[in-house]
Amino acid sequence: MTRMDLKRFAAIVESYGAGPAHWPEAERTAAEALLLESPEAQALVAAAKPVDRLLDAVPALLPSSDLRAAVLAGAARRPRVSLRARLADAWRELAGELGGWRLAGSVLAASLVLGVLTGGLLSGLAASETSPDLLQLALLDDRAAEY
Amino acid sequence: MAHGRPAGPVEDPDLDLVRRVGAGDGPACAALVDRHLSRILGLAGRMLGNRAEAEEVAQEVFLRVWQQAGRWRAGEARFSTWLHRVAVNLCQDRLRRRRETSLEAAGDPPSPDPPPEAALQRDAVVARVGAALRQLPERQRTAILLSHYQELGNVEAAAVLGVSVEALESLLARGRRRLKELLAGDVGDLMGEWR
Repeated sequence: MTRMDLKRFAAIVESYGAGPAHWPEAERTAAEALLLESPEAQALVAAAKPVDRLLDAVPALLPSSDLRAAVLAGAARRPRVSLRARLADAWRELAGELGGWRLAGSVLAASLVLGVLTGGLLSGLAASETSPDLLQLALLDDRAAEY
Repeated sequence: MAHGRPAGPVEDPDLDLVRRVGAGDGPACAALVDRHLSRILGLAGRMLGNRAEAEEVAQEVFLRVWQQAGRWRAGEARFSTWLHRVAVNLCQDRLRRRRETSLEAAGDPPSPDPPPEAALQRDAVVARVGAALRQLPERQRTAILLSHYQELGNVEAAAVLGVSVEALESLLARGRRRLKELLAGDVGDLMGEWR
């Protein structure tokens, strides 16, 4: 552990106040060690305490059950993120990780080709949904339900 | 000298919950609200000094959560940092509008005195400290709120404000010095009343 000098300790107390819980995590142990052994450090903390206590006197608002319910109602009403938006995000993330806009352009072009092919395939499937075979199956289901 | 954590991947205790919220998991939404609503309402209340407005801000913050959770990208920032940044921005927008409106209205400036109903000692302390906080420059006040009340670490508080840790420390130190000056005549009395 690096020893902390009084100058840095004073700067910490001046910024973050008297409470070690508010001090920077990376320096807290060193600051607390100095506080134990240095009367000057103890005097700095004692001088900062009144402002801390006054700040602590101001209470926080507490959420009512109505507010909680209203917030959660917003979650129920939220618009779903579309598959298209999710795919676009995924492409952006991939392009960013792999090397920027040039690659993103290639990936976008590839995705367009893929989209056209997929669209064609899906439209073929959609057309086949009304095929006589499917209608036959549906009719069989209806008949089964009658029994 | 830098006084923050070393740069590296951001560990985020909310990540799993946010992913579940993004997938439409209702109990995860409730858990996320229970984890963060109090803090966000507390921050907005202290920034705005008005419960109704603070509740509106809290609702707006969570509306953005519901909209963005499905697109959350891990590793860039903690979810709580983003949440605080949204809340701070929304509060600052309202404070800016309030200032513009008050300039247009050209009315009397708000009195720093405590309201008459704050007759009890504890309420008097709260009112005077609250008034002193509201007199601080906005960024100094926000730095104190994030560090003292929201208990954000220095790196996270600096990220919310979009400044370096050194700049955060400067804002905090100036804010606390000013606060001490504003309350100088009162500190003894207030502390006496508070005991």
